[in-house]
Amino acid sequence: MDASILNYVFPNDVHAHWTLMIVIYPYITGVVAGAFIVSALAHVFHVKALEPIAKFALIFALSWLIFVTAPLLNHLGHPERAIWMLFTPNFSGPSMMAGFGYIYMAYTILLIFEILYIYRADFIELKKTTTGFKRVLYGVFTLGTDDESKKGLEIDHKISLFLGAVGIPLASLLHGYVGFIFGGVKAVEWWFTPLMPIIFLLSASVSGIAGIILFYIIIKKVTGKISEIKTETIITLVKLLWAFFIFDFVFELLELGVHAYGATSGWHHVSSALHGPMYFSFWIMQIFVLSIVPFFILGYLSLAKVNRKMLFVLSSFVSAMILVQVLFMRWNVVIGGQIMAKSERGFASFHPQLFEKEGIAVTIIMLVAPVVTLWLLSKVFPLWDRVKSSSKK
Amino acid sequence: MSLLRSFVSNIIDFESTPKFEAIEQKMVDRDRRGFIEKVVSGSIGGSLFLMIPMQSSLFAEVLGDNEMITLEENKNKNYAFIVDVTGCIGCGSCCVADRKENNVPDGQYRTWVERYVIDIYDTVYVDSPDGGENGYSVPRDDIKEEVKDAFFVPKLCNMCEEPSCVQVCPVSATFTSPDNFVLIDKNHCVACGYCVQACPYGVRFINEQTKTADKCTWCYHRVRKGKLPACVNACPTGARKFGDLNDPQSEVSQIMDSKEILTVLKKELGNEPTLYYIGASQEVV
Amino acid sequence: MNSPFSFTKRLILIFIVIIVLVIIGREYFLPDSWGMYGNYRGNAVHEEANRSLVYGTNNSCESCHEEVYDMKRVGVHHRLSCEICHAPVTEHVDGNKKIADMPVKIGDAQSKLCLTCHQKVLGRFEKFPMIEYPKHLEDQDVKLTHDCNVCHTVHAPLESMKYIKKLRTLKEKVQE
Repeated sequence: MDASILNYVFPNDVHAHWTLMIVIYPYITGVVAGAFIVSALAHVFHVKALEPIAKFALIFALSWLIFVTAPLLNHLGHPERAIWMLFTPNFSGPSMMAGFGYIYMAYTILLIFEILYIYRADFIELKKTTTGFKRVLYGVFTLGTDDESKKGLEIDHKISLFLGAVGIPLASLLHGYVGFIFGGVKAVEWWFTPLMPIIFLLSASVSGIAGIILFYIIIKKVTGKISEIKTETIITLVKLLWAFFIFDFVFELLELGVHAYGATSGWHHVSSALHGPMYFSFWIMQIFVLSIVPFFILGYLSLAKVNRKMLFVLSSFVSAMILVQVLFMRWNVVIGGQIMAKSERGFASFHPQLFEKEGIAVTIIMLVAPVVTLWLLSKVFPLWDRVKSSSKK
Repeated sequence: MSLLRSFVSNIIDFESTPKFEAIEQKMVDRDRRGFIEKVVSGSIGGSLFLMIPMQSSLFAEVLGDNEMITLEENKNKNYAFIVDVTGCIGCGSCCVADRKENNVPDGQYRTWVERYVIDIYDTVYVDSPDGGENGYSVPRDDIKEEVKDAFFVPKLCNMCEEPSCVQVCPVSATFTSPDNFVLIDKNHCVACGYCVQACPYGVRFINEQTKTADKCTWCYHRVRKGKLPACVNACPTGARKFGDLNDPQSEVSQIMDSKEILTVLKKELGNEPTLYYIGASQEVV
Repeated sequence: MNSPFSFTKRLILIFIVIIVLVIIGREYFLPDSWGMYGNYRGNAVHEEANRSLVYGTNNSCESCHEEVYDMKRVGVHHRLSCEICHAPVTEHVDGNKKIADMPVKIGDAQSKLCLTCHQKVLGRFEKFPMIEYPKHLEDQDVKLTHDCNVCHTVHAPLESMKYIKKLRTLKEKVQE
């Protein structure tokens, strides 16, 4: 019997409402949260091997944070009313999506403040040696002050430590609430699990760490400064990535496993989707090609003695794979949940077009824009070394 | 046998005209007001202005300017919407009426009718061509097995007492009114689509013209004017029933008080829907 | 040279300004009727309630079309909404004035309309009057070009059957 005659989807449910924009939104916030955790490990937990990239991680996080609202504003039917999320949030639901306004605002303030503290001393030096627009910018970032005392540096250090520490739960919240947005929807069996915030958070950390590895190596290679990278930094990052990834993968499989074991009628519908329209994106791509294969590569890189060149090549490669895996994971959650239609008797459809309001071209632009922004920000925020003081103390 | 079937079979007994004439006479003899009230309006309890056919005020009545039930009065009503699956003939009149009454864009549905066909091997086939709006004159020719049972199921907002949609709206644009109707503030909704995802019944959608969320409101604007929802008014067999449970004379009260088995959809989700079905077998989701 | 605390003080000031802007913004932008009945814009309830009707009820037709109304209400079509076969009353009258003719279906369009309900379709309950078309015309031995109204007078479909049956018995008697 042709399965299509059994297919039935409620008339309003036929096409997915949440599109690529909703796939990349958690992706972008995930990268932000993950990059911040790397920087917190360096700053707050003093993991020495990560110190060279501590500042880079923050600027990396900032360049993605700037674009967090873009996919959402593009998706909304009335983006001009978006401010209501801030002014009339639904706290009696409470609506998890309403958390967006305040959590995003708080986290943006925290990240920018922390960056300003960490770069303050650098900017005061740079103010002296630059001219024109850049000089004005540095003046703004230092809020018009030019204190160079030791006490000032101590204050910078203490407060940025404090902000880094507070930032860890806040970054977790920034991405955890997204997981709750899905996890709290009982109408969609594929989403409704208490593990959802945890899975989202772990895969966010994974994407942030992978992004940092990849771009660290690429930027240093492109600027001809690859020799400046310390091997132990990459090895620590790789081990961190492997550890987080193991947890992420285990939780994803656990969720699947317990539901499959329980085999409720809702699960039967999910299972037929996983073996039907989602077979390629879930089993082939997310699980096999982009989880199992990287698991072994990361294991090899973490446990075996690998020469520097091989390490850099393989870790860039596997980081790129992980970045794609996290994108597939978001796709499978967001799109998959909608494909498994509420009629429990069929599958909805989703066919993104290249040139439409929420289509593929716009998605690519929104994913490339943070990288371009990173490059622009690097012109203003020195990514690596402390700016040496030009005056004698 | 359901109440509707016995009611209809009493009226439509066209095997012998003498019996028809007897029934006809009974109807004419019955009190005119009571008759119209029961049959035409389907029992909105005690609304005087539906009954008295005065020339000039009738047009005002149509447009409802001075005949509104106030919010306070409406809070004292306990409305119920009951759908009798055994009475639905899949004509689509309800969908036609709803589309016009509420300006629903083509391809989007505040209400729709599904057709269930069950074969002798208990395989269930469900479809809803154009939401059932054009009726079901074309049979399902893709079903090869012998058919055991077939019926039509109207779908609309379940007007939950614990609505998932209200819980998830980030800007409080959808809410439960003081008189227990779940409504949407079209001037406030940002169309994020979260309510559409959260509704277990698929009755919400993003209206492509207003670019806000939209759904069946049980014709709140009609009910506040003492009228029936458009789909109930249009239903030729009375499969859709609407009334006030506080009025013991209403059809819905009588059904609630009877031994008729009423079910709701997706009860296990805990939304406490107040849309009840008569005759919806377990295949209906 | 500023004090070591001046940067922090200015940053705190910026933080406070942001908070104040949010608070002032909310006060300024919040709609007046917010919170009237709950955590939502109260006027939305009234706006929805005041939305104008498109359809009326069968009573809307009565005052001008009393004869048809009376004929219909004692027939088997008493439950049918006039506006479904015709059109919403607000497309026909506005206030006290007729603004357009009511559409009336005739011929093939009429048969099609009647068949929307009365065609024999799988899923309709047995006691519901259903026919197969055009077999019904053949079975009743009438012209295939007849629309439903010829025999059925759609407002009271079985009413005219009495007279048609009388005509038929007469015809048979004559033929004998």
